[in-house]
Amino acid sequence: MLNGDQWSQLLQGFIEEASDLIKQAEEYLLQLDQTPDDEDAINGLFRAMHTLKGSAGLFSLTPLVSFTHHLESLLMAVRDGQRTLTPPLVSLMLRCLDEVASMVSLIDVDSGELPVDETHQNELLAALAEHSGQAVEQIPATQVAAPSACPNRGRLEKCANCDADGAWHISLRFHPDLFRNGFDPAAFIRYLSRLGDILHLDVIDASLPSFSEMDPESCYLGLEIDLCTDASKAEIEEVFEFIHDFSTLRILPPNSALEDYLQLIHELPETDQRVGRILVASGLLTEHELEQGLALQAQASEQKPQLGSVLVEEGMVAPQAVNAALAKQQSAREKRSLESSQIRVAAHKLDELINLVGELVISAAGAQLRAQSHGDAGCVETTQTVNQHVELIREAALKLRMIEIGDTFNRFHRVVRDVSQQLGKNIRLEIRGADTELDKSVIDKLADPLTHLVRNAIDHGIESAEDRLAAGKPAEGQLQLNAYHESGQIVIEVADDGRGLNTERIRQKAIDRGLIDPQANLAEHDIHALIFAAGFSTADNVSDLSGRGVGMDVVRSVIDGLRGSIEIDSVLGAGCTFRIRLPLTLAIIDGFLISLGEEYFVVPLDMVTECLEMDAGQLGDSAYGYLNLRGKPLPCISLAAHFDLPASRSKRRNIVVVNQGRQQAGLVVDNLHGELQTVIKPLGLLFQHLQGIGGSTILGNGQVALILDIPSLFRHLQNHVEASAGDLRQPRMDISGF
Amino acid sequence: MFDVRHDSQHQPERLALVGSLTIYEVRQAHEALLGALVSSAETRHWLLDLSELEELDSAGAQLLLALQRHLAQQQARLEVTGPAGEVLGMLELLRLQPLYPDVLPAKA
Repeated sequence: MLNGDQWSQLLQGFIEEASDLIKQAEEYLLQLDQTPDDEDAINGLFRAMHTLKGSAGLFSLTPLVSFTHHLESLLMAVRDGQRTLTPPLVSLMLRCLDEVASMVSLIDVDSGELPVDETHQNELLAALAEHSGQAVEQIPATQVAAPSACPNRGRLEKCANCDADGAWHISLRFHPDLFRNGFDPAAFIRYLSRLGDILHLDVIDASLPSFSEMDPESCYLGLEIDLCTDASKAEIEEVFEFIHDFSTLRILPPNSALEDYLQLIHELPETDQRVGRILVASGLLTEHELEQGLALQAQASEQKPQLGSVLVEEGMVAPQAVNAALAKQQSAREKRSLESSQIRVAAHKLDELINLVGELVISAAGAQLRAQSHGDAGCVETTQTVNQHVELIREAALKLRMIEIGDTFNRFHRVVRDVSQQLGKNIRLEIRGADTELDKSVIDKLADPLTHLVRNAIDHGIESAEDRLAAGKPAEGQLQLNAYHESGQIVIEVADDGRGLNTERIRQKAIDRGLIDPQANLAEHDIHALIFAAGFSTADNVSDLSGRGVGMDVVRSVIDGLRGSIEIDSVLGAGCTFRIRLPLTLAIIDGFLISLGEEYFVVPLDMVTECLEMDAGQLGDSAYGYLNLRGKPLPCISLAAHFDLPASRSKRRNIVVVNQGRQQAGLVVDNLHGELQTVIKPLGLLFQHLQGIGGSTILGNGQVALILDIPSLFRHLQNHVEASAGDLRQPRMDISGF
Repeated sequence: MFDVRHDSQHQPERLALVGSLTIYEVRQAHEALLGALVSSAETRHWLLDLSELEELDSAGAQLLLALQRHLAQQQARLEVTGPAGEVLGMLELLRLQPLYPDVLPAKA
């Protein structure tokens, strides 16, 4: 028996699985909103609902089972072609999914109880029933829907029309647990009848026990079906894909060789006569052939050729068609095995691993340092190999945490759909770079700021259809989510083609709120940046969605917290792009080690563009200034002066040129020590307010090095430049000859 | 919800199935029908009234099929009456001729 803890753990696992399934289902639904006939999406949606229902049943979550049952039934009807997913039905299904999600989130892990808002559920179910009701009126339930043009469709008699071509013979035997697992063979027959005409169907009840002895929930039935269709064997197999584990399926192509039929008869559990008679009755075999065949059966049969070659020999299908069908089957199988080859790991275990790998990086570096100072060649070589492996482990460990941003992006289809409907706008969401990978913890924290930016873009950015047409733009607004790598950082863009930021209005508001001086002469770019100030909102009418003045400053602080930056590109009347730059990972970086006297600092390596060397005398001792780098002014910070360290006595100084986005700056330092892998240790509470320092790390020799927070240094530099715009001594020296 | 109304006062004896007969109800239905069969073991002519049955799935159909076979073995006659809509559709889909009513309702 399970104890309470194990049970809770299992239930927790179910909740996670269910959330995934709901997310999947939502994606499929949104896909179906665009392309209502996408069979893969319908199947996927159905599968998700079915799995959810099945798993919920295991945990006796009855309200969840019965609610999803209704959704499943509806989807079954959609799959069978009895209903189509109209946009109102998709909307309703989305609301139902929301209800399922809220039920899942309300499950009490300890008690396994599930409170239910019955009023709301009944409303939804009534709405669903309304949809079902309409459809039933349109299609009489007694008629088997068959899409082919065969005039004999749906009739019980043999199809004279297709006789020349023969029919597929399908034998199905079910597992006793079929019904208990929520499957109804009738649904599959209905689905099968979409592929072609069921000429003949026999329910095999040979194994049905007597009425008093039967277990009514077990399935004792089998089916023999003759199907007239153009579909391939793979397509027929796909119909029964869901019950693959609960059934034995035999499919014989039209005009199969006699021995194939005989083998089928032989393989089935019932007596030979029964199935033989069915085959004769359906015209697939003649009485004579059957007798002859059964007589022959005792004799050793020849080696059976592969089905594919039989098909080709019979001239039924071109070889390409067989190959295509095989390839399709293969890819479906690969996809399945890919799905099942995933392991779910608790995030904290990964964090623990990465933490340990971090320690390993440090101690391996320490060992190497020791070996080098010791001088033993063998020892040095060994530590080098160890270091290489540690490097590989580090990369592999970091990759474990990387997930594609696509999942997060795809969630916005729903947001865009809902919000644009609410506002009566017509907006298309385009996603690019969905496969860009990003640290999971970063992605988790990004969801809220992205939602805010997307909502803002829909609410304020994109105009109503009339305004757009008046401005000569297409009525349909466009919103883009874009992710890509750029010099060791991830860039995420939220771009709309709306009206753009109104610079004048932002300026006016900022003056009204006392954020800037009315006399200040700010560049457009800086005015745009004001929207990130706390308590700033330009929306004239506060809506449900945004415009309350909270948000943009929160967006800014979340991104700052991730050691990222955000910038705005806005063209009045043409659209606005928010560009977020983020580090790839939060845990370990490739660093560039520098020193000032005895103090060591690390600069993230991917921000370093070049290093220059120059004479100390040419630099002077003020903290900030400009150099002329190949004809362009390069703002410089003397780190020693900036951090109040004793001024350096060395004659030669080094300048490390770092860049962030389009900005460049030089850091004046004493010595360069080259690259190293750095495990970032966050600063303790006491030091969190430190400007310009992003964290610390421990060097191989045990010394602590501080990691420079380049974006904050840039901001500091900018503030300083603005504050003292008048009295800059520039340029100090000319190094354009480099 | 499922219910069996057993009327043993008239001939043929009448079993009226009410509500839905699916995997969720088959166990209850099985017990109820067994009870009816035991209490009227001598009856040789049954009328199975499906007119108030609203929902039928394969599990339910299997139960009805088993009932029909059982009565056939007892040399009792089972007359089916009144299946409509979804229930009739299921019987026809599975081609369960033994359970077809003697008189098919006129199709609209």
